Amino acid sequence: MTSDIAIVGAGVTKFGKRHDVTYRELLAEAASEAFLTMDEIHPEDVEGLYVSASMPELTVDQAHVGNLAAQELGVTPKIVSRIEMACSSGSTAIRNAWAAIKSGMIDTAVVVGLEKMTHNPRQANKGLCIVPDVEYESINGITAYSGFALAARKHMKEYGTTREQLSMVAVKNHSNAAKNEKAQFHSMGEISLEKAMNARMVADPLNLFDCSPITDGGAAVVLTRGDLAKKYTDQPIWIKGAGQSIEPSLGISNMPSITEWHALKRAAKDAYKMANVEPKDIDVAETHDCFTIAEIIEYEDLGFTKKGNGGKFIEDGESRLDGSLPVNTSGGLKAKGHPIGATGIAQIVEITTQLRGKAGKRQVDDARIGLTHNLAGFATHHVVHILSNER
Amino acid sequence: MGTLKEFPYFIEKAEKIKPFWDGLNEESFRTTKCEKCGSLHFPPRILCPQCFGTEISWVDLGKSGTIESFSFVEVPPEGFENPYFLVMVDMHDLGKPILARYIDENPPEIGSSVVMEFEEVNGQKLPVFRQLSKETDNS
Repeated sequence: MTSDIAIVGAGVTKFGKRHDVTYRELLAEAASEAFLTMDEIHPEDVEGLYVSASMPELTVDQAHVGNLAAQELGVTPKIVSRIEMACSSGSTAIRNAWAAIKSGMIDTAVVVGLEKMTHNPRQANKGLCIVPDVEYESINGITAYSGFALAARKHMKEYGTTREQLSMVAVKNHSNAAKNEKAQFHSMGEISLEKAMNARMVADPLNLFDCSPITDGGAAVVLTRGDLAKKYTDQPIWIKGAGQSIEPSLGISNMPSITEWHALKRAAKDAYKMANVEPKDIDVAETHDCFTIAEIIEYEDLGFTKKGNGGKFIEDGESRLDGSLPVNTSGGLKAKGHPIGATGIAQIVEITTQLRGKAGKRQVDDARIGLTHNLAGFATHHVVHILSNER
Repeated sequence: MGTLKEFPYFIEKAEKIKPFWDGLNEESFRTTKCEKCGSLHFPPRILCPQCFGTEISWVDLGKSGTIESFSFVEVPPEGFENPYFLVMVDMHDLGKPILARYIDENPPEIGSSVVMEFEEVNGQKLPVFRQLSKETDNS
């Protein structure tokens, strides 16, 4: 059995307020966006179906969305599953599809992820608030934004990261979103450092422009066995490395550190080793910028720069579109948007698009190797993928 | 200063975990300890995550700790009223951080010593922190 797994289709819907479509229509739209990037795909090809969805029970009163996906696509897969791992559901779904194809049980899988959040922000916020440890931490007043605020303050104290450097992440990602028509904040255009720095404080030191929004959106990829790839596309993108790790900590109490993410380092180490590449070989990356401080810590723990140097990495422009290692060319969670179940898949779509040379105004020159990083909780769960346009 | 008005989510106070919640109501920081390997747990457990031991006892721990980080939460989540300080406190006896609101008049600082106190919401006391002063009983 071949060990090579190819991405042969990859697409995202428009992110933002999508009151023009129902949940199931958004799912179908995400799948069709991926299918449109392929030479062919038929319902009978879909032997695996993975649906990444974090909170449909809360926001649209629909459970069993794996079956909903089978209905909307008209498929009878041998393996079908709904994946819920909060903000990292999408990458986890891809990892499961990858493992199933690698095992030889199936040849081809569709992975589709989505969330509809903006029509019911109260339920969407509940969906986010119950991700950490509700009984032992949330009850005492911690939420996603205040949890990352704790990490930001500690990182500032330990490494001298500045308030300005946090805002530079937001400025960069909004600038990239301005070049991505699918991004939620595409029409907002570029934002000034002053605007990002002076936004309303949410949980200090994080302000509104340090936070990703709630979003409606979907994304999908089609994975297949390497020897079948040419049937579907003449531009397959190869999954060269994959890693996943988690802390035995639902909230913060059992994390070894909030400023150095050990589980991310483990996941990244496995992915780099499998792909036989080093951080310096990465040409473009999509990393989980749910909050600006997260992207800064990720530069460090993914090995793009040394520990404590993440603030300087953004300040020096290294992660800008014209920098040495462009990060979040799509606009990231910050400005492309963060429809929970779609996010990890949309990251893979962006890197696939970059490695195919089809990213338009935000194309990174000669991008050959790309990385995605998707996390959940207070950075307690991480999934890293390394993709290449060479087999 | 911000307070918890009414927690909007379900907290399951089943029989086995009751000593933890009763402990808070008695103004004790009570958690579980593994009789096999001696590990202290937080949150409290029935299965030791260090050795998979199932002989578990309850212990009352000291209430002092050191602030590892903090945030002034200006947008309170559902159930909370008014802005408040959130602190991450490395508990000296436990050896792990716990998260709670900070109710002292003086703002928190990283590295400063604090002590757990208790605030009642709808019949259940919850931990909050205050600066450790010379007069405070650090037990």
